Amino acid sequence: MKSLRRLTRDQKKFRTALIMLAPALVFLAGMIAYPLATVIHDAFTYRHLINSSMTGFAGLENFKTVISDEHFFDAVQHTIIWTVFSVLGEYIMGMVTAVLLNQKFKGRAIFRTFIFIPWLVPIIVAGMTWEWILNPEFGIFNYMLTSFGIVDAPINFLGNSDYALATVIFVNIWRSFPYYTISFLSAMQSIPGDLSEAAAIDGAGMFRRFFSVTLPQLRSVSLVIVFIHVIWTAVNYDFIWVMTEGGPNYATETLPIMIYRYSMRTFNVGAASALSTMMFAVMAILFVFYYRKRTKISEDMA
Amino acid sequence: MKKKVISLMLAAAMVASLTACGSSSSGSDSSGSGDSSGSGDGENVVELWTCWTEGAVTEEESLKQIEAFEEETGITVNQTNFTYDMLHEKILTAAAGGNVPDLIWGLPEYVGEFYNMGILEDLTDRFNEWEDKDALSEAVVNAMTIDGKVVGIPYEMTVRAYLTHADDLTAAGIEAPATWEDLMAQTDYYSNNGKYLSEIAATGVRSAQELIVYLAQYDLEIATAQDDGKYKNTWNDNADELEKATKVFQMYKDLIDNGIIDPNCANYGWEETDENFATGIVSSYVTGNWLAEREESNPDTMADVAVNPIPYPSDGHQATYMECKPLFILADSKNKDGAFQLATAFCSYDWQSAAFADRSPRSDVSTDSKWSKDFQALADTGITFPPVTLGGITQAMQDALAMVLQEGEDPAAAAEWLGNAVNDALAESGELSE
Repeated sequence: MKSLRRLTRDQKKFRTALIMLAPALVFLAGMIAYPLATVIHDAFTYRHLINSSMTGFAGLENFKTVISDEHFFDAVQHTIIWTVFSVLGEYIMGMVTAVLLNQKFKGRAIFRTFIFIPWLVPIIVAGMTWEWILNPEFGIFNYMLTSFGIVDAPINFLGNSDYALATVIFVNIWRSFPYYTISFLSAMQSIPGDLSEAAAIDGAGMFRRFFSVTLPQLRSVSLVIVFIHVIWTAVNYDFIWVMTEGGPNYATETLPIMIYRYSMRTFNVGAASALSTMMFAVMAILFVFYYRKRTKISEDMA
Repeated sequence: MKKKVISLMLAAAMVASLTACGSSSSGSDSSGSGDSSGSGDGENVVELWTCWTEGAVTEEESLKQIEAFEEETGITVNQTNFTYDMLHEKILTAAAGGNVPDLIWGLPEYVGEFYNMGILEDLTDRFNEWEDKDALSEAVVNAMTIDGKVVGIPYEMTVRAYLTHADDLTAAGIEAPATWEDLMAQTDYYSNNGKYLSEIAATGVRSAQELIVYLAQYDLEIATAQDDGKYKNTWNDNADELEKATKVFQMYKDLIDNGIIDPNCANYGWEETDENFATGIVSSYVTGNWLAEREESNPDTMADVAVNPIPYPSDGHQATYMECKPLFILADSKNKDGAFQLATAFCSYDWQSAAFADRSPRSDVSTDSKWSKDFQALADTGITFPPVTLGGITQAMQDALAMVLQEGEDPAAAAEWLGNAVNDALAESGELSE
C-alpha cells in the first residue's frame, strides 16, 4: 500500500492505461496469440490426427512435405491469380460505379442502395446461387447463351479447368465490388468541388480532372481498401470451396483450400500448420510494406 | 478513483465473459452431452447429431419417435441436423476440442477413420447384451465391426442399383443394359433421343463409391488386408490386377468417348447426378433407394423408374455398393448408456418400420415396393470400403478419375498412379503393410 502512494503521476497514468487495456490484452492473448503460437509450434512438430506414430520435433520436414506436394506451386500460382485479378477487378468496377454514382441524376439514391446488394448476400448463398445459374444442364446463363445462339452447346464454367478459375474470380468481383464503390463514393464526396471546378476552368477535360484531381485524392482510401482486400482475398477459403471445392482437378485450388485438405481430409495437422505459417509470413511482409507506405502517405499529406 | 472502479469493472466484465464462454462449452458438454449423473439440474440428456433430409418422411417419423422415446425413458434428446459433410467436419473439430455430442449418424466411410482417431466407444459388450441384435444379419454386424469390436449400431442400409426410366428405354426400343458391352453399344442413344443414356459421378465421395463397385466387378480391392493386420493396394505387384484396374478406367473413358454419358459428368458429384436422374434429364443412373423421396417432388419424371442390377463387364461379375450406416457413440460421451438406448431405439422394429421401411438394416423390416424388395435382391453382391482411413484414398480415387476424364491420360497410367497413391495415403495414416 505504501509503495502505491509513491507512484508518480505518470506511473499512475500508465497503471490505469494498463488496467484499461487488460481486457483487450487478455482477449488478444486468448483468441489470437495462443492459436497463432500453436500453429507455429505445430508447423515444426509431427502432428497427425490418425497416425499416432507421428510425434515429436519435425524441424523443417512439414515445410518439405508442403513444398514437395505436386499441387503446391499450382496452388501458389492460383492464389496469386485469384488475389490479383479479384482485387484489380473489384477496384476497377468499384471506381467506375463510384464515379457514375457520384454524378447527379434522377434515382441516384435508389441505385446507390441497389448496388450494395451483392455485398450483403452471404458468401454461401452467393456461391451456391451462381453455381446453379452457371450449371450447364439447367442454369439460366447457359440457357440464355444457347437460346440466343451465342454458343452451340452449354459451357461448363465451373467444371472446365479452362474457365473455372476465371469464373470464380468473376463471381468474387461481382460480390465484393460494392464495398469499393461505397468506400470510393464516400471519399469522393469529401473532395472539395472547387478543385474540380478550378481544373475545369483551366481547361481540363473529364478524364484529366479524374486522373489529376479525383484519383490522387483517393490515394489514401485506395491503399487501405486494396491492402485489406489483398489479405481477405488471399486467405479466402469459403467462396472457392462453396463453388468448386478447389476443382475441377485442382484447377481452382488455392493455398487456403490446400490447408483445409491437409487438416480435414488427410489429417496432417503438421503440414497444414506449416503452410499456414508460410502464408502468415507472407501476409506479415505485406503488412510491413503497407505500414511503410501508409506512413509515407501520411507524412506527405502532413 | 472513479477511473479505477470503471477499469476494474471492465476488466471483471471481460474476464467474466471469457469465463462464461469457457463454461458455456463445458456446460454444453455436461448438459448437452447429457451427463447421466446429472448436469447442473440433474437432467438426463443425449446430444444427437443427424443427417436426414429435412421435410422427408424419415425426419417426420423420427421426430415422432424421438418424442415417444423421451416420454418412455425420461431422457431428453437434443437433436441437431447437418449434412454428412458438415457433420464430418464438425465432429473432427469437436473431437479435437474434447467437446463431442453423445450419438451421431455416420457413413461407413467414417468407421476406419474415427476408429483410428480413437474417438469411438467400443460397444461390443453392450451390443452382445442387446436383445434385438438377432434382427441384424451377419453382413450388417460385420459392417459395424472393426478389429473385432462393434463400434456402431446400424440405422439405415442401402445398396446401389442401376435405375432406369423405363419409358425412355421403351421409347428408344432397348432393354436395360446388363453389361458394360450393352452400355457401350448405345452410341446413337443421345442423337436418337436427345438425352444421354446414363451418367456417372466423378467428384465427391459418390465417385469413389461408384468406382469401388466397378473394381469389385473384377474382384479388385482398393486396399487389401495383409497378414500383419494392415492394408495395401496390390495392383502394382500383380500384372493381372493392374490390367483389370486399367479396364475399369478404360470403361470410364469409353463412356464419354462413345457418347453414353455427358462429358460434363467429369465434374459431377451426387447433387448433379441424382438431380439429373430425378428430373428425367438422363435416362439411367446407378444410385440408391433414397431417390424414392423424389417420387413426391418429381411425380411425373419418377413414375417410370425401374430397378436393375448395375451393369458389369462380361468377363467379370455383378457387384454393388452396400452402404450400412452406423450410429456412433463417441468415446468422450458423458451419457453412453442413454446414447446406447437411443441408438438401439433407432434400430428398433417400430422406428425402422416408420422411418426407414425401404432401407432398413433389420431383416424383419421391408416393404413390397421396388425401393425395398428390388434393392434387397441385390444385397448379396454388396461390397464395402475396407476399414481404413479413407480421406486420402477417396481423394486419390477422384484424382485418378480426373486424370482419365479431364486430363485425357492413359487409363493404364491412372490405374498405376492410383495404386501408388493409395499406398501413400495408407503410409501417411500408418495403416500400410510393409
